[in-house]
Amino acid sequence: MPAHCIIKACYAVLFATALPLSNIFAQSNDSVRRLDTLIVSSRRVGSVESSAPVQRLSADDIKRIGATNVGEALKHLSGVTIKDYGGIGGLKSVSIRGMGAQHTAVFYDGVAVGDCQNGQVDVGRFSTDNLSGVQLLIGQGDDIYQSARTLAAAGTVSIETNFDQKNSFKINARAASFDSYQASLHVGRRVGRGLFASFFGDYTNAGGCYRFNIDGAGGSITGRRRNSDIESVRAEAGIMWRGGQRHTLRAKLYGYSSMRGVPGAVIVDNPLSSERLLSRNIFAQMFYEYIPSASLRMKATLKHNYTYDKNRLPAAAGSASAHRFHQNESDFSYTIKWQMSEHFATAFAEELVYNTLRTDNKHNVMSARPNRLTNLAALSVRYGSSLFCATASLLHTLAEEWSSVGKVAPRRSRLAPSLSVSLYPMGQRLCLRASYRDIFRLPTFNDLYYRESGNFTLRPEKSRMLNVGAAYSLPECKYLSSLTLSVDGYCGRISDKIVAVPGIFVWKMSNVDRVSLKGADANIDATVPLHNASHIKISGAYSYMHATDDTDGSPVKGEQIIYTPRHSGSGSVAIYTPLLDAGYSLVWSSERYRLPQNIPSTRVDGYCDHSVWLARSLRVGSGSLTLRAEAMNLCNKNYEIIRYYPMSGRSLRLSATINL
Amino acid sequence: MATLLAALTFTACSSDDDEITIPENGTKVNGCYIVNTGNWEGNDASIQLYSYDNNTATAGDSEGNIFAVQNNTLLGDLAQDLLWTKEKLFVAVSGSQKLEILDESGKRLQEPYLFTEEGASPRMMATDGTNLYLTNYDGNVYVYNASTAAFEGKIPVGTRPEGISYCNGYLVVNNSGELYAYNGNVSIIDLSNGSTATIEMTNPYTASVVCNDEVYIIDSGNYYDIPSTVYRISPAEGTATSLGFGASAIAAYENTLFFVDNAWDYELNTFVPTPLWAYDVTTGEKREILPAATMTNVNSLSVNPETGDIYVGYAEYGILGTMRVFTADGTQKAVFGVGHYTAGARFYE
Repeated sequence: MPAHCIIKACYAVLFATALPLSNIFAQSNDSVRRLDTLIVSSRRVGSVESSAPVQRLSADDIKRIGATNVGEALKHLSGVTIKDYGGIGGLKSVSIRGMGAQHTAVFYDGVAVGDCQNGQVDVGRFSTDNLSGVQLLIGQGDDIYQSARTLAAAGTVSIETNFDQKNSFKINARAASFDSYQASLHVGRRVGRGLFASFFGDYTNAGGCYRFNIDGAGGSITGRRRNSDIESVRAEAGIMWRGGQRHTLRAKLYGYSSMRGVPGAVIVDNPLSSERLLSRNIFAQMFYEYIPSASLRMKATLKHNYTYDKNRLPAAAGSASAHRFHQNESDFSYTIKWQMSEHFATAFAEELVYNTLRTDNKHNVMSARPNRLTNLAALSVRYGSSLFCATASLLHTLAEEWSSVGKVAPRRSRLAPSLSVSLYPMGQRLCLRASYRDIFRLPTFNDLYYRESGNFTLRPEKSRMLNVGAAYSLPECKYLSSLTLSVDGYCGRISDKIVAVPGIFVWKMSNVDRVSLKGADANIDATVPLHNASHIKISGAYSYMHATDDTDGSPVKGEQIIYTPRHSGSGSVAIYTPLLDAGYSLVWSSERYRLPQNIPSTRVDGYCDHSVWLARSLRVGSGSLTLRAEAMNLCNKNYEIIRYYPMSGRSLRLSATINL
Repeated sequence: MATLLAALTFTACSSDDDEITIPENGTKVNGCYIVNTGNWEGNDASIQLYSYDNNTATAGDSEGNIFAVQNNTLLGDLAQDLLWTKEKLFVAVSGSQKLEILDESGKRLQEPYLFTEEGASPRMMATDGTNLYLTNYDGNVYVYNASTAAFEGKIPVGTRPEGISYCNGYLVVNNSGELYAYNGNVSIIDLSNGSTATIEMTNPYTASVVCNDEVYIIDSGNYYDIPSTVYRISPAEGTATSLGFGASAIAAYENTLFFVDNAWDYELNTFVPTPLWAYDVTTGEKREILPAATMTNVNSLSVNPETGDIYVGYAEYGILGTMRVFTADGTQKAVFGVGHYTAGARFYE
């Protein structure tokens, strides 16, 4: 693809999303850098211009690795651990560098997706069918034009949906092993001058009752997963208005509903499973950006999110019981950036978040009816030149909680600094970078108020992370259209880690642990041109994580924390030809431990998941029809990411996509 | 004192650090069993053998799990209780919803009895010398005739029954009540005529022991603003009398009720144990056996009915536990590793 087409394509993608928009205009006095940024951001490594590790999967990358949801896609990035309970409906949460899922912020089209109850977002819930990309940022990057919530997280996952600025129509149907069916529809329309509308809907129905064979003591445990089905429907409608170069307004209405089985772990001699989970999620969000001059810009978001979960639990003493949870989150944020001079810029960001959690169970599972108002305010400064960039941010968090019943946590107030520096000794080809972030997470409502185990006196969990790394992009040559490499090393610490402490009859959440984090991430991404408009894309990621208990006096001090592999990685190779596209991808992980004590009986074996795919695109009128066949988990091993939650064995998936 | 006729022999042990290995052929052994609940969804429940001769036990990890070694399979998820009677071991495995019936070496005598109804989790057991009585979360006490090796019926009790004791023709059953409702009660069943009396409680849980021909239980309160209370249940009178103190574990030996409390302290943000107390149920006198510092992370309390030795189990999150054996006057006799979240030692009944 010619360079100008890449730039054009990138503009189309980037204009549609909030975070990258800031990149486009960030260096208005440096047009060369601007173009480099755009080109690089279409690549998987995507981090040559950033002082913090950034990895981005484009829509093409996601296709290449065959991910149908965001959780599957993120498994291919370095420095990330996905807790995957298996099956299409199984929870998939993201932990960055062993810090725990509660330290990861998830953004959907630039607006935060929160969960005040348990602090972790199920990224398996987001389909990849309508995405333009997924981006992972760890720590403090160059860009100070961020929302306060971005600055308040140790790492962020940004999910970016398609917002075509032209008429488009895409329909996709997919069938896979274990009675899995999915269909989606995406329509984009230009409805007026600078005004665009889009609709996306998808439907999933999966049985998920696959056979498994996993290791047990002295033998194997075999059976068939039960109660693994899911039926979900999702619809989202959005509009975007662009008033010249100065105004951008985007609004979205999102609805999701699912009913799924909660199969639980494989239990020896007990195949019964009957817990069901009904989930409903509705949110409305709005993003507005105004750029009054070349030196001043501002953006604001407004969102309301409602989540309803109903767990129907197995019967006890002849009667089933259900737990119902209603979560509300209202969020308002704004960020103002002032480019004071050629090199200096400053930004101020503020975010106000109001959370409530209610239950309407017969017997309240929460000891309070918690309300939380959180104010995040951050002041950032940036010095940038073609050789050097430095940023500093100071974030203040103020959280107040109240409840009509029960005791609540006290007011919390804390300042959290972040710093970053980056050097560009070879222009935009080489970046040497270092960043530091000192951040904390508030205890979740479950941590604080869940009946019996909750502890309203919990302190926030603190994390500190120092990152040092380099990224290099090779100039285009005869044999390589692109080659990007990045290596980052880090060390950090989590203190006041919140864990459950066992008593005789009841467990209690407590701040007792400290965790030491050391590791390295490496990424490679290359494109090899072939004859006749064909090319090969190769990518790989490797992570080393030495995340150990560092609690004084702990009998497990120095041992690897739970479900954190020492070594993990992914890779993919794909060949694109006018006739046929084909590819191979793998995800692998070394052994992990299911409990803090690293002994043979707590060890969970490593795994390697290989997949291959074939795709053919045919021209149909003015559009195209793409047929795709995939074979996943070729080794047919029911490996476990979480012990006793076996993944499905070898499976096939066929899909057809019509683009008009 | 019963002797253990096990298909096991013990290798020589010279110190407390050594563990007993589990050989293939056995001989008569003086000992008892340690039952370890394991982690939820961990399938790591286990049974260990403790030797009185060597004052130590088989290993606390899977190597020392006599069930796994003898049967070459996992015991399952959440072993709640073990009852040793009539030269058999009955093991209630709550998560696996089954009752295992083993010989004294830990080998299966028959396929486990599986409770196939949703939510029918077996919990705690008691025996009258003829029948085995097993509480089950389906709201019943199951009656198992050890002679005929068959279930002979079930007795309906309250919601989520837990601890159970047999005392002079009566069964006393702790019904813990609906989840988070704290509306539990105690059922007193007269086995001579099948009649049942009920005493309202808050949250009577697994603790239930017989001492001096009466039953002592812990009502655990709500772990928040209703504290735990130890009650004396007089089955014949159908009454419950508060002893005026709380506890999180109790054990009985002759006229002595041992107890320890390990309640959460919101000021200190930790579980704070009391000393181990010995309470004379005939005089009401109380004396300290072990200091509070010895009771940190205490998870179970058992007493050998023959010797009065006190077995204290300790548990921390995610690591194998420890058990210490003390003589009745508080002198430490043995210390050894146990499995995850030990439910305590079990002796011949």
